[in-house]
Amino acid sequence: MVTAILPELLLTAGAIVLLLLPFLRSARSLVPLSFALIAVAAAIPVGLLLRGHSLGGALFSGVFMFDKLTFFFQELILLSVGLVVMTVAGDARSGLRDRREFYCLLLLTTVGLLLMPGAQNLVLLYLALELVSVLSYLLSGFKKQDGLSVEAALKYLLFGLLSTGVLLYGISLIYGLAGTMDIRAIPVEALRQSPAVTLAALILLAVGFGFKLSLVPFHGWAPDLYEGAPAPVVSFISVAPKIATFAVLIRLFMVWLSPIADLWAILFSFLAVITMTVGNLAALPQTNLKRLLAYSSIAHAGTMLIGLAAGTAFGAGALAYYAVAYLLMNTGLFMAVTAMESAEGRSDLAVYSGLAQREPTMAALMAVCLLSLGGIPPLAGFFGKMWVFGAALKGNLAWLAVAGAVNSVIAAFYYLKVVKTLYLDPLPAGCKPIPCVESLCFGMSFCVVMLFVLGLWQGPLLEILRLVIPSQLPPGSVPW
Amino acid sequence: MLIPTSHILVVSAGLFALGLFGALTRRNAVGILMSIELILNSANLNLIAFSRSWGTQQADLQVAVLIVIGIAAAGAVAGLALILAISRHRQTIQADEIKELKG
Repeated sequence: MVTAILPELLLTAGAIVLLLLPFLRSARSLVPLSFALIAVAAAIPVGLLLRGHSLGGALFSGVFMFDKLTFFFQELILLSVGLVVMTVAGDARSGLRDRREFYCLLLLTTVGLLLMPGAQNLVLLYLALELVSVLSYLLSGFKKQDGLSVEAALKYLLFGLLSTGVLLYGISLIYGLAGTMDIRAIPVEALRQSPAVTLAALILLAVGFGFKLSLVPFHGWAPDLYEGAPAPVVSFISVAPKIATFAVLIRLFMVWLSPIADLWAILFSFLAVITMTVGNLAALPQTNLKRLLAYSSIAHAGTMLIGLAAGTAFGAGALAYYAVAYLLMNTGLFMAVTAMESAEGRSDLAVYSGLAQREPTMAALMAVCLLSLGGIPPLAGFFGKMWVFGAALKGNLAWLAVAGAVNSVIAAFYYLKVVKTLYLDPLPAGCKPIPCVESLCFGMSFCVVMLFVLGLWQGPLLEILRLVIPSQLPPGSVPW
Repeated sequence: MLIPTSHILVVSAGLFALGLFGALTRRNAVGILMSIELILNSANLNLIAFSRSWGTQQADLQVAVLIVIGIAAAGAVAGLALILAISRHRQTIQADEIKELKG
């Protein structure tokens, strides 16, 4: 039973060691040590599986479910955090790199993220969600001498506390209808008998999760946070919590609440359309790359939500594929943003003009990430969109697929605009070369190579997803 | 005499509405935090009332409520820390005067 939560235990112990033990006088050992902790945490479940141990199933009297879905999303989260540690290692300006508290907070946030995909009890779900949220507020306000960063963190915190409070009220309504916090035991007939209260509870839950995913009516914090907070923190907040939240949504809505899909599917369909449209239209006039990426990540969350709204195994598989692609392309791009922010101190688009003449390799890697975000074949981002739209068509949501396709055209426009800035705009006079940091170069190359691999050679990932998606989902298996 | 569950639910719904209204209209950041605490407490009240009416898993739910109170305290601590930090930078905690970022 304990083996299933060994990664969480290891990371908690590691976080405390990093914070307290005096032997780490030199800040240089912080990055390798945190990276090693994350790598070991990712390796433990893989090693146990290879040695023939089975996954635990429902543990701790059914509170935590350690199945293939949990395993897959936990590995994804650890990959994302590992890449974030590499990003921090290349951040010379913000001063996060040498602060042991930063790594402590990062690892503890990771513990919360690892608990989210497996949470099978609404109380544990709320606890894990709040662990992630409260620590993310602190991470984003970490540079307390930087007024912008603290302002962004305060906005994030006020939005966040409000929406998780609303989420908790929704949970209390669900409990009132169902009489249990165990999401496997929620009697769906009882929910069906009082559709008004159920709908209210679902809307309240959607507010809470929508905040974490930055869906549109609840996205107000995202642009400010992306602009104000240090780039590595933004890179973390824009990927890992979203992936974990989508895992929660798959387990809660698609698996256990699928009998009342008619109530929530339409809600998520509308949220998806509004989120994509507003995100993409607002991204068009942006002149700051981090702000542009905020709106782009809002739009991507909307596109992923289509997979959820489809409500089928195909939809869940497409969502998971999209999540992998989004992790790689967004983290890769934020590594470039970090490098530029350390070199220039800001991230307006003007800083990036003519980057191809200044740093050809970095510009090329950035361009691949941007094209993948824009959905240009044969990169993984394109196939993510393709699977998601395919799931919508199969799920009789053709209007949603059409809305998504129109939106990807708008999205391609502003990503190509950034690529044009990189390649065609003139290099401002007096630019110094950007110091190359090994961890950033390596991380970006890894992301770009993986984007090509996942795009051109999809078989292995699709096969993994076929195994991972729970068999309770209609129509039983993934149709690829 | 036992207070009926429906009465408690009405009170908690009122608290929730009050908290939501306060959080959306207050200008002072500490005031917003206080309104959010109201929302959390209304949810707690709901949970306690429901657990009494379901009757089966009382201990479970009371522990859950204690956990929620703990989390609310942690959130308030993070909030006050950030408010303190921003009041040093801007000499104000009025939410509508803290607007160097566009959002």
